[in-house]
Amino acid sequence: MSIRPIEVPKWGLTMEEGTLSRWLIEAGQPFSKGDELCEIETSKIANALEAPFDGVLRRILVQPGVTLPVGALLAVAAPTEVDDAAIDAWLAARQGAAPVPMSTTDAVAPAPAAAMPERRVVSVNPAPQGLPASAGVPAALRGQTTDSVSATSHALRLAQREEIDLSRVCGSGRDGRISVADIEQAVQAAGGQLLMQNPSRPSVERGDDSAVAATPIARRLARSGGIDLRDCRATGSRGRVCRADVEALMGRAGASAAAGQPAGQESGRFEQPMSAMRRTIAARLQSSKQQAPHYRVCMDMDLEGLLELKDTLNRAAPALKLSVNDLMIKAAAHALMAVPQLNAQYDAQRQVVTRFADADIAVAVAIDGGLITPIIPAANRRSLAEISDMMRDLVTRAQAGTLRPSEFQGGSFSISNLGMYGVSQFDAIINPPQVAILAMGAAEQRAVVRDGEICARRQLTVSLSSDHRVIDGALAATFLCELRRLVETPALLMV
Amino acid sequence: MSIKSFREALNEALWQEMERDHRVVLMGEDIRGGNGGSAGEVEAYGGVLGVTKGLWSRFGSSRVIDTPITESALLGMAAGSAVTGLRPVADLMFMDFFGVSHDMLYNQAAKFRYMFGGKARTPMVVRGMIGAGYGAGAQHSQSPYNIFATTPGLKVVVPSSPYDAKGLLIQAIRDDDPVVFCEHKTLYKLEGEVPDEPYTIPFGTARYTREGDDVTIIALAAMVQQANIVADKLAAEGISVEVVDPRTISPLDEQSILESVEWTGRVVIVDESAARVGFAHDVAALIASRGFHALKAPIELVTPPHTPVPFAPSLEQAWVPNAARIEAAVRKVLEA
Amino acid sequence: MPDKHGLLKAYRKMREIREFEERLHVENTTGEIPGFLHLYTGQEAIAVGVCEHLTDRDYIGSTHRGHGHCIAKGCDLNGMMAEIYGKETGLCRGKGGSMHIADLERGMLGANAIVGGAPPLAVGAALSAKTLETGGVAVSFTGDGGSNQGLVFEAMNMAVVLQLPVIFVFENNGYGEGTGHDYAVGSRDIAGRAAGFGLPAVKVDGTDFFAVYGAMETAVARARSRQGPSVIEAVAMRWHGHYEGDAMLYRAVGEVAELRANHDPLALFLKRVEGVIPQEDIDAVDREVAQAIDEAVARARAANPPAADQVFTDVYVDY
Repeated sequence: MSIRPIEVPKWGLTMEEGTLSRWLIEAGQPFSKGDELCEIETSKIANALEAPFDGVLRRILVQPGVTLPVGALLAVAAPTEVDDAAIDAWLAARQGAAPVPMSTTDAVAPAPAAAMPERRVVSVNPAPQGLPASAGVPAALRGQTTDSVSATSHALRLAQREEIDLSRVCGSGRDGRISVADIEQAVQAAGGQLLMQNPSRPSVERGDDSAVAATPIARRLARSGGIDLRDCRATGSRGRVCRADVEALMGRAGASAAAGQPAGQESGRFEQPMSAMRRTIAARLQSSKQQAPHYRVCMDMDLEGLLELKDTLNRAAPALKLSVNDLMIKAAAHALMAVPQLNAQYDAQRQVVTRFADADIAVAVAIDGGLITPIIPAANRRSLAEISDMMRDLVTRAQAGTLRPSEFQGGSFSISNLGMYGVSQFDAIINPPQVAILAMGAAEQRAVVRDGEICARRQLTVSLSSDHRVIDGALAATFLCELRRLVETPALLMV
Repeated sequence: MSIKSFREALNEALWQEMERDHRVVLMGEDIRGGNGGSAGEVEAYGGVLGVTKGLWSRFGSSRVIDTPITESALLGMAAGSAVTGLRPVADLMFMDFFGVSHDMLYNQAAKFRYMFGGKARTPMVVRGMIGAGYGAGAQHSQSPYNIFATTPGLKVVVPSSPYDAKGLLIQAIRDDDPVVFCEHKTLYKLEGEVPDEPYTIPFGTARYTREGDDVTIIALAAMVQQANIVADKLAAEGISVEVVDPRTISPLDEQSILESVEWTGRVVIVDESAARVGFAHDVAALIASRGFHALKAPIELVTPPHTPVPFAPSLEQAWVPNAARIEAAVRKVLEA
Repeated sequence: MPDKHGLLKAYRKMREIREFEERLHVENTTGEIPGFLHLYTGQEAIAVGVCEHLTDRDYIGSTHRGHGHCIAKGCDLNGMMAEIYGKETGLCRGKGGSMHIADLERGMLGANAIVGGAPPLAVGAALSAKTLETGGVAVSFTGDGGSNQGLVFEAMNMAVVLQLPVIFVFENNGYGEGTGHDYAVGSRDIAGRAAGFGLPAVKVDGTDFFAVYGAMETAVARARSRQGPSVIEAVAMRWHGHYEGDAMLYRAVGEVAELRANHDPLALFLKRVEGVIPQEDIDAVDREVAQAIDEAVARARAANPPAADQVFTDVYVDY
């Protein structure tokens, strides 16, 4: 037995730091493996740190309110026979490599175990420079792999993507060949986490059934009951797993379902871990808001002409069933041809803006548990009928969860429409690596002044969020002008 | 390193191993050719498709042994000599002939080590041709490697390129277990870069001929070329295809197969051996049981129909899986 | 002919075979012995007459009725008995059983459950001997039933074509399973038929040790001097069934009794060596053999079966 550290643990994929909220044990007290030592909060959760071994808490190093990175030293445990001088020496030796503790935060409330108080974590240290694709590869494994390592094809690719030096990974295969599983094991053993991202596929973890179409209630029930939706029959509407399907499985599972009930499930409260889709959305949009300096430019647009055109077309060809959305997509596509700087993607790392000849317009679609952005490729070259049909098909398949990756990844511009909810105006967050997004509100009757007179006109308000690194205000305004021109004189869409 | 054909690569492997180890002995029908004819001391064949050409001239009748057309005795002699000190490479000519010889491989050589409590070592290689495409008819066009692979105690090798052929044959000869080495007859003229010096390729290691993200194709022997054609064609459409060539089916590189499936989530397996109970079905079961959660679509199998190999070229072409059928399967698995 | 020492050694071997098989005949009724047993009683002179000319560097391949060949070739009695009982101390660690007893170090390529399986393997062993110039020979034992297998014809032809040092011994014990040799062997003459393949073939009385020994002496000399293969057909009826449990309805009543009375190879041998070997030597051998068999059975009974994980071992040298 010797001097052992108590460190900030890594809870979850993206946790990088934690704030000590309070100690549950005092210096000098003995503890057993599994005892709760202290409470730590992150931006997502608050949890208690369980002792990883038996010991005696000898020195508390961090006071409540302090935020530290994962792996930082919180306290020291050692048998009572070990004297303080030895602990000092151990600390001194370790301090050489210790991370700098961050400053205390403001608004510290001593958190009782049950509540999830609002936290504002202010960190002084900026994010580590040169963060690779996955933030989770420990430094001990980082590096370049030389050619002479025996590894599977995917292991080599993973090492290249994540900048892992395979000479530091143990291979369990034939003749010491390194597999993906070996790398995962090595990373985990070193305290890290790997994000296995195939660019063509959304990341799907083992055990993740978020891709299964299910009613919201079925999904909640399955989660709390420890049931995997993929194991359920789907007898609900639109081919979804419904409550009865989950209950059928829970009935069979019996005791195991009950055992799967997480602790702390009191009536009226549901703990719901974030699904992979939610986590992805969260990460992407947070990064977008943080990285891209968003600003918005709004404009009201008169819709009388557009609505008349829509009605005329729908009457003449009832099979069309055009919507305002379809027309707005076409108008936006034409506007992008006129102001092509907004039809682009920005690569911040390489400092390159890529313009596109065609407008691949991504349209935000709400689905169970999240949202997805299927793309109308080359919308500028498509007729209204085509756009309308494609939108219908994409929305259906989006909600059924059967979109192909190529159908929702990419795009040069996005449109988001909350008009159907009666929202008059809102601001959307840019979909990286695009440089702008158009948010549309509801078409509504408004009292406006025309030719000195107040009259009732149907209008809507759009809000264009742009990335000021690439798009200046005048350009954004120019785009909206062009868009309005097309919207208010929709015959121009035929040109 | 130089460009060699698949046939030349095999010949070189045999040559170099026979130089290195005096215990390596070739036996088979007409691996020299010309014994007992009226022409005198000639090498009349050097193997029916020329794989063993030149070896008799170099090594003589004691190391390159032509046998009568008696496959049972041929494989039995190989098994008996392997377990008593030689390292025979028996040429079965067409793997279709395993029917008349199989006991010596199936019940004897494959099982010696196990039945005798670990005390026997049977370092023999049985080489033979597989594959359809030359109009050779129903009894000379089969690929029964699935049958060999189902027998515990045998190792089964199915190379697809000249580089693999040489490295794997040398490995087979140096291996201390019975190895069945299946050479696709339509690949003999295939050329590729092959190192001039001897080298080995470990069994149980697959090779990816294409890397990709959207779909995995698993293929063997001549089907690998077809899969590559499909991959290259679809690349132009922005569909990224990964082609996995297991190279040996016993031992099988399960890990490389599963890693690819976990990456792409969509699999097409193309196999010339059987419409049922074949290599494709074995791999599909592996994926279904160990890679199920990674799958985004059902597994697609592309195999011949459950019929003998027909003779007429129009029929034979319809029988053998080809790039068009593989492509259709890939598109299907992408739509699912 | 062997000298006195050699004769006593030969007697010991035959006695071991006799007592081994007869003991198994009894022990099998307890139900402790798994699987099938095929007993060699009545044919002892063939195995011993042949193997007395062989050393450890010579190989033999056998049949499913292989205990006699194993003992004659020098395999350990304890190891054999334990193998038959399916114990981990068996010669094959319990993985083979009665029909697959082998000991490669003694040149025993294994009993073979495939009828006609030994000749091609012996041809292979002979090829090794010739190629590696070990001076060794190979011998296959095949029954009258097996003598009809195509495999056997192929092997004889191969041996002649390649001029290999192999001796094909055909043990005509009267029956191939439940069918008499006079029905199944169309030519009614195994040796005569074999001669058609181009190699010398003789037929001897298999109950007469000296006849077998003499024929084998000639054949071995041929083989070792690189003159090629030979065939010996030795006729000696088996006393028991094809397998233990066989009701032998294909045999006339009294046939076996007559064999025991008038065609016992050991009795015939003893008569021939009367006066040449002292009786007390014979008695001592009998006693020692009885004791050795007792010990083998006791040890086999007491030994452990192989551990469960042994299912997976030794499929390959390495995989």
